[in-house]
Amino acid sequence: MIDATTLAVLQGKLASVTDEMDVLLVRGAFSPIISEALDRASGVYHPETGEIIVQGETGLPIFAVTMQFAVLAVIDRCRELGVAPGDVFILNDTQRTGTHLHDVKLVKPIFHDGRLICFVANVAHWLDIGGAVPAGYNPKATDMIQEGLVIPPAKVYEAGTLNRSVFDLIIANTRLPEQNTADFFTMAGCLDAGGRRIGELIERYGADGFSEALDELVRRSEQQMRSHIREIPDGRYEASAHIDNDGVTDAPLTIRLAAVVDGDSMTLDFTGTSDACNGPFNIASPTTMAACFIALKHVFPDVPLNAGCFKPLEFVLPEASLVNSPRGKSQEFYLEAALNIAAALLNAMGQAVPHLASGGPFTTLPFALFGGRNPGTGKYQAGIVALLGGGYGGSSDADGLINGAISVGAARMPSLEVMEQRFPVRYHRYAIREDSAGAGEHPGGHGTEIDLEFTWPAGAASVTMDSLRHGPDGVGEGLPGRSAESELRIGGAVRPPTLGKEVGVPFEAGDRVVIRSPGGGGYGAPLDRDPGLVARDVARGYISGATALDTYGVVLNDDGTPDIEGTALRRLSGR
Amino acid sequence: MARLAGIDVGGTFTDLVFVDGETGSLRALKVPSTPTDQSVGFIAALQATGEPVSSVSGVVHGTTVGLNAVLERKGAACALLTTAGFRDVLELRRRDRPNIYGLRGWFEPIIPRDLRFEVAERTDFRGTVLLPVSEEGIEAFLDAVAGREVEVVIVSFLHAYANPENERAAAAFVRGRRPDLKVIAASDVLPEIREFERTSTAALNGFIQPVMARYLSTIKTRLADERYAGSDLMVLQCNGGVMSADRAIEQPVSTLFSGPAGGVVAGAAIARAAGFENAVCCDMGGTSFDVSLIAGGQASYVEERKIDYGLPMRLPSIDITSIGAGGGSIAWIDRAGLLRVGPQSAGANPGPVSYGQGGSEPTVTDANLVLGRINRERPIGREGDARLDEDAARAAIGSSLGAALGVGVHEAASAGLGVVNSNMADAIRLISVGRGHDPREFVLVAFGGGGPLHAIALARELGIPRVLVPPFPGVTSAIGCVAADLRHDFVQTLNAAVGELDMGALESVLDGQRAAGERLIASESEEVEDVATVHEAAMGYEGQIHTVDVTLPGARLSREALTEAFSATYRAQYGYLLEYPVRVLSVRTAVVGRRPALDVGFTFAANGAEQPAPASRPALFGGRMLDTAVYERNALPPGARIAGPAIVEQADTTTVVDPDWQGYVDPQGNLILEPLS
Repeated sequence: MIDATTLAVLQGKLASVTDEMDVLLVRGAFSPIISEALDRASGVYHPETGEIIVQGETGLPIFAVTMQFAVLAVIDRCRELGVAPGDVFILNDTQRTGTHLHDVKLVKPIFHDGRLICFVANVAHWLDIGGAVPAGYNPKATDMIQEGLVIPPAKVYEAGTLNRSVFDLIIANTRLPEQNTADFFTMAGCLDAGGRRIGELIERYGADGFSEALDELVRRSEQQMRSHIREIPDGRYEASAHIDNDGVTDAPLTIRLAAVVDGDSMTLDFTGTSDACNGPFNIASPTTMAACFIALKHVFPDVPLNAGCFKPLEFVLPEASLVNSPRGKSQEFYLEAALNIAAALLNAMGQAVPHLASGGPFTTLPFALFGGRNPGTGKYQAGIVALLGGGYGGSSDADGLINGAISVGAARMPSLEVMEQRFPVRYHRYAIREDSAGAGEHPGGHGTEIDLEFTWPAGAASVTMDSLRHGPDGVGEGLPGRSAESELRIGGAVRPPTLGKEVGVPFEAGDRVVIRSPGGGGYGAPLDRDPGLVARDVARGYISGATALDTYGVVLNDDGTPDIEGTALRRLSGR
Repeated sequence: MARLAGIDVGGTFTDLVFVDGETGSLRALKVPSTPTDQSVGFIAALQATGEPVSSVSGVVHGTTVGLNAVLERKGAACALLTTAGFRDVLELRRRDRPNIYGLRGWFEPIIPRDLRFEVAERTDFRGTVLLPVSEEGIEAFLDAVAGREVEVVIVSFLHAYANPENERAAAAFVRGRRPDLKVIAASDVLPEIREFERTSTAALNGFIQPVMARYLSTIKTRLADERYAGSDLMVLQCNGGVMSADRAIEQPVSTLFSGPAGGVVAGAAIARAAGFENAVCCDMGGTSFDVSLIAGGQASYVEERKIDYGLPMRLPSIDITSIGAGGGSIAWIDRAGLLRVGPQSAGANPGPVSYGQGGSEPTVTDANLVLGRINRERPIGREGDARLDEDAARAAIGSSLGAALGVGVHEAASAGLGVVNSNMADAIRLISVGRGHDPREFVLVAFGGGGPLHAIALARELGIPRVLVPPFPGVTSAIGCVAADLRHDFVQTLNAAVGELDMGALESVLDGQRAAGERLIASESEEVEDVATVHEAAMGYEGQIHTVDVTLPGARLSREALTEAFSATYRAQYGYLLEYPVRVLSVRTAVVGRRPALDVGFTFAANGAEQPAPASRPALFGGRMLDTAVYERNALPPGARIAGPAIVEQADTTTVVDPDWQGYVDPQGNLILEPLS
């Protein structure tokens, strides 16, 4: 039986190994999606079940659950192909690993004296993985093959030697071979470093002690998750969320969620959710589970990233539904469904535990992506030129955050100056989107607004977003945040992107795109907001004087201070 | 000869170190800090030396006045003028949230939106002015701020690092109209790419500028009142160097986080004087453990630090890793039944259970107490004749940890120390082994009230063969003040491929940076022995985001030499090279004015006296209570030897020597500990 000190110490040391792998990957990567947006994760996994033992806390949240499915897929593959020290598997098959094809995973078995002790693995977003559209994100893709190269678990290193056949085949099917090659070797180098550190721990604590600790850590983590669930009152809490359309067919998609709490376990039932769609908004079951886990971790941040946390959770995922996509369906825009699932579960948890309730966070990832040949150098270039945050919900103790990262991710917006230097764009405006927050006693955070111009013809720009019809919900008497908006200014004409999602937009030099992201949902009645804060919000230009008067019932004096008497009268009549 | 005073103001104590070049002595003392007006404690510390202030030849100051103003949001009212369309850059940050998990939390920028204004103007990334700055626009800005209580204006335009023409024109225009305002052009503070970080750094500078100007002139007045007649008042910076008070008033942002940087400078100086070029500096206080690495006599630097959520400061700073592990760190059982220590701390109030001030959760100090490692009659950092309540500590550890873990009090306390030691060792491992250093070539320099208590445990775990406990481990930032050189850092973004770089322009940028540094140093002090310049370039492969810092062999160099320098650095960090074009993002120059080395031995009351017989008490080692010799540090003169198990006590720390370790006092008064071979 492993002693308590060793167990606690080993847990810290494993976390330190994954943190180190996370940092190495960010520093060495070429893809800005990895190095600036931090779209990557690293972890240590169980040798038989693939379950997470520990995963780096700075990794992208969505990978928290999906990686164990990737390792499990590798374990299955090992039964067919065998496994030996020095092997490294590569894979991205979303059906087995969740998220989308861009997220390439490397999985490396760690042996000690001929015995498989655990796996180390990492995942990172490769900027281009082939498919119909440079850098991906084709909102019109109707099957997975259009989205890029599908890699089932393949041995890319065999006993320490690079398998060039596998490697060259993969790289040859992408548009950014140099960048992807560099990122591949950086990822492999990180696994080597992590493997060495694990080796030292095994030497020090013994293979048996180490293995026993892995099992015990999972068991302890389950106990921790159950203790949290036990504190949620038993009951059935329902919430739903909507996606405007799937990019192909103009019909709304619905996610229905019932969180059923019974003692120390919880069932997450998606019965009633829309069927899988034609466009790339489907998600495989690992993605659905990951989104739920992230929402729970936002509510209970101290739950560790460890397989035990999933054991008290039971999932009911209707076959061939949007959240349990059949093989072959396109899934590139997995984030949209994941964001809506997380928002629905946050809403349900707010019903169950009212002091944790908050207005909804924004649930779409509005972005513009560019791909084309630089007329000066003739070189192919691709990259994200706009990545908008949005408002978070107001809560019992605070207003919502302005320009937060998406709830299931943590990717940062790159510097505008750096993007102007790398891509043919010039920014005209990057600003708080005024009056976009859901009003409330504590309003949501405002959304963001960007206005950019292309400085040479963009061969294959895409502009995509959802939440054009629904803003994030308010809670109590709080109002919803404003929905997203976009304008393509092409030639002399101004129009929105078709279905909010266009690919291959023919931007010429001088054409522009404007995107406005949603504000967060409000908390509590706007008429209960402190008039002094309303006056401040007007002075700062967060809201207009008209909003102050009409929505908040606050009458302002000429000097901008609240007219206390006038406000009291106004609010009386407004109720 | 120099008679130097280094004064570091902390939250609780103001530390002073006095070096007398004539007698070769170094003295240290502490007086209570005076948070409402730090200058009162500053002068009190000087007076406490008993030396007439008029006989002091130099005063070097480490201050947290600027940092406190930022953390408490009590800086000056600033207005920001930006390129039209971009006044919110400061508030939008980089699209993030305070914590990865949890969607709550709010951000308050240091310049509110109603004091952020825009003006039509534009420069592109090549430095070409696309639109000259609109004078009518500036007039409108001036009208808008006319009725507002504003002390400082910060002008920050896009791509001003590439060409500051518009930004400087706007700043000059505002200065001309409003000579009463302090006007700061962001590219003068930081001519570096990345609009949010540059604007944030300039805004922080403006926010604390009037506060620091008032504070430092008060200090100067008080020194004059005391008939101080020495050289310029000098101020410690986050880069571990010092600058004149006048420069500090211009660029106060450099004083943020200067205190910990001073500690590292002191560690490097002490280690070097003792003959060690490689050191791990470990400072364990009440709430945190700060660790930093000195390799080949050089500290390592980071290019950016966050003052708080959403408030980056992009200036070269000594790289210090801080984790929540200190004497006040609370040991607790998490929901998984696992023992954890920190990051929550009982702080100084209520403090550890044994302080008897209402603390009920056991801390690292309580664990050290019940294991006999610290003296309950002589607690550190406490006033008067306070003593520690060992029974209360024992009860708390037994009930909250022992019961849950199913072990006795000693075992539970040992387990707590095991966990906190492991956390600290992992922090050291990340900056040492994690960066390619071999711990066996390092000495562990232990600072703070807690460092020497845990030093041998950390050295054991990491394979570090030697521990050094300086004579005054509790006043290291003040020692850093007197040990630090003058230093000025400059940065300029170039953003060009090596193949296309104008090598003549590169040389003139570097020469210009060197000349600016030399001018500053010439104006600051006469006691500089020599001036050294280090040129660095932030370089990477085309398309890569992160860069590596490449030390350049000089200002004038060929493309081949530049590429070669990059390749050598890249290979050392990553182990491989790539076949891509190489880019220079920015170049940096550090100009260091070396002050005369502190060639002083430390004097002790018992210096040369006979070593008295030690006292003893039982302490736990390796699971057994052993009868342990207890020495008085002041009674250990240079040359004295001790064998473990032993405990060495002094006013500001306790050193624990394991049974299989031994120690001696070196000629500088450092206690050097090594394993029995």
